[in-house]
Amino acid sequence: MFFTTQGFCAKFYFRRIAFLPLKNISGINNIPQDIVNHIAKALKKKHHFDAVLPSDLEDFLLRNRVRRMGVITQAQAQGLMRQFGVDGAIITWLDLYDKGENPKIGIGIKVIETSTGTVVWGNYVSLTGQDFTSFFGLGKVTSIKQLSNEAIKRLIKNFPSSFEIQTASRVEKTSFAIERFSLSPLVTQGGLPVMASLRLVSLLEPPKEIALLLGGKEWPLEKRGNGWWKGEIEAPKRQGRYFVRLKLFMKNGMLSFLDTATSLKVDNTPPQVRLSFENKVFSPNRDGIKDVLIVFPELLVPDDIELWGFHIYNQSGEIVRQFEGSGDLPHGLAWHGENDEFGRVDDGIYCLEFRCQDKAGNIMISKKTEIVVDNTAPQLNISVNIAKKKAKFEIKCQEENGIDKWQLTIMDKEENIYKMLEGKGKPPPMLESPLFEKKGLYFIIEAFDLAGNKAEYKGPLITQQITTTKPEKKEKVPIGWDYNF
Amino acid sequence: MGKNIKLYLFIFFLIACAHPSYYLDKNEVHKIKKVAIFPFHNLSKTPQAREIVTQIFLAELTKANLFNIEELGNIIDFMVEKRLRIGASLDKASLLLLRRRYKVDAIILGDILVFDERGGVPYLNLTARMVSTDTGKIIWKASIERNGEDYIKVLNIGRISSLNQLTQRVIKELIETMS
Repeated sequence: MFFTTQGFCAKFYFRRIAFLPLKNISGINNIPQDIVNHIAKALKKKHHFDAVLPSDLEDFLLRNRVRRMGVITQAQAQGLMRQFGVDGAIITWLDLYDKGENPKIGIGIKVIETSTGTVVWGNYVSLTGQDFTSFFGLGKVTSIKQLSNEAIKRLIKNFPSSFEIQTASRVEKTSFAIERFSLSPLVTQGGLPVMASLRLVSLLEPPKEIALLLGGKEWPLEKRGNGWWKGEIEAPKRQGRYFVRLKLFMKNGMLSFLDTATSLKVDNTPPQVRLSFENKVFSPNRDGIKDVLIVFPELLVPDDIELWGFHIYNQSGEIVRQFEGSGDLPHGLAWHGENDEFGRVDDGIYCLEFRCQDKAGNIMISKKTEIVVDNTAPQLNISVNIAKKKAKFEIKCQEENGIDKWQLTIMDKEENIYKMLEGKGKPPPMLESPLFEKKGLYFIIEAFDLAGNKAEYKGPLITQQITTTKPEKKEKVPIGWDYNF
Repeated sequence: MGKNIKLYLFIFFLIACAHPSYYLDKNEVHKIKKVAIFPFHNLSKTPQAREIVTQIFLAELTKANLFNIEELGNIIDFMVEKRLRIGASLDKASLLLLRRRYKVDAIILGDILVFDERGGVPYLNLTARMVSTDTGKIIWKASIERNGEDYIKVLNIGRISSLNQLTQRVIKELIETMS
């Protein structure tokens, strides 16, 4: 290794390189397994480095549970460096392999510097037999073996004898790599226990002790086997986000610090949710009017909700229906007046309570909101008096939960409307309407309660008119068939 | 007749020379030293397209020698750890975490829209973007749609018959727009 005069790049000559097994993404099973060995042999001949072949890596791959062949993590690369003393690792992949009349191959290579896990060189070659065809079809390659040899030749043609690596990344090179670090839970209430788990890969000597630094306190981690460290800490009491660092005590008395890039969120505030309702008084009778109660929960302050539930109680305090879920709050929730056994609940007053819990475990319980299930229509008694060319309607209306609106309509059989009166709230005890010079008129009085139940009273207006008005006397006209003269 | 041939040749020349559509923030791209490539989001019908395109993109970008490149293994580990789906956008916190942990200045995300062969002609449609891990802003974005016949110069010469060759060619064109 030496530093060049140009900029801050350093040139590296790899002395020992590990060749990872070929990653086959061609979709073909019968591919030659010795492609990597061919590449290794050709590169070794050209650049005179030591090669660690895939067959030598089997134990390492098994022990370190390396399952993804086309990629490598920094920790795995450093593991290779530690165990085999390799400066670089070569990953090759085959994404096209066709033995047909026009053979095809696609092969790629990348070189990873083991201490930093950075890709320092890569190449890809894809060839078909037809690529070599000149005039009159001459020169076409028909053998996949010949094509493979040509592809490998082109793949490594420009393989550099040294690799330029930014000095910045070399300076940042550490003796340790965090392979896994986790806190459980990541969000909690202040003062509660949190489990920490760490797997540290050491390039040289593992640390003697490790402490976790969080919220101005130091928590020792207990050493387990195979690079694992575990420990229990107490979450800081004050609400906030706390970043976690590691303090490594080396055997020679030196200290080293590592940033885990993980944070613990301490949340002591229960979720703040506002509920709004549509149809607090409703009639689940499927008549299309106010058949369903809808609740809209709204999170007033952003929070990570873990669990939520809506509970509906009857007047005895028993739960008749509950809706529960996890994760984000629903946009809205509809209750059709059924109980948990999917039967219909009786008319009456019920209470709705909403509960939710955030990921830290803070619980919010709403005040109970009264809701009314009412499937009973209002009682409507009407009497009609016809006097002085006016129809007077005496209305008696009874409803426990209040009347929403009413309507009086006078119409004929063809439903032509002659008069319409309407209003909000309870209908007045007396309504008047002029009489119309038309036979066969009807009147309809409708009253809707707050739950959407409708009461209707319908009657013929003309009959009343005939019975209550004095019929005009008509002189009898003598006719031929009048036998009374 | 002669006029027609000239016209066809001109059209072929135009198609062959057409650049991918792209956006590049030249001031920002010069600041990028190290990038991480995320597995491409495969919207095509070919299941292995994601791995093929991502690996070729990585190899070609390394060859172009524009940036240092973080190996895919660390990025896949990061995605598993943070439960990030392939194709999902990254929030600011995740970008900053990548910056701190792997010292990457930008990430590259991409979508494979078409990756198939129709009547023996390979078709490819890709989009890719580079997002700063510092600001979360897009530094480079490019999209390209090509088929194997787009590269014919004259008399079927230059025609690309393999999807993998087309992928390599198309990715090279995309990468050329980065500088």
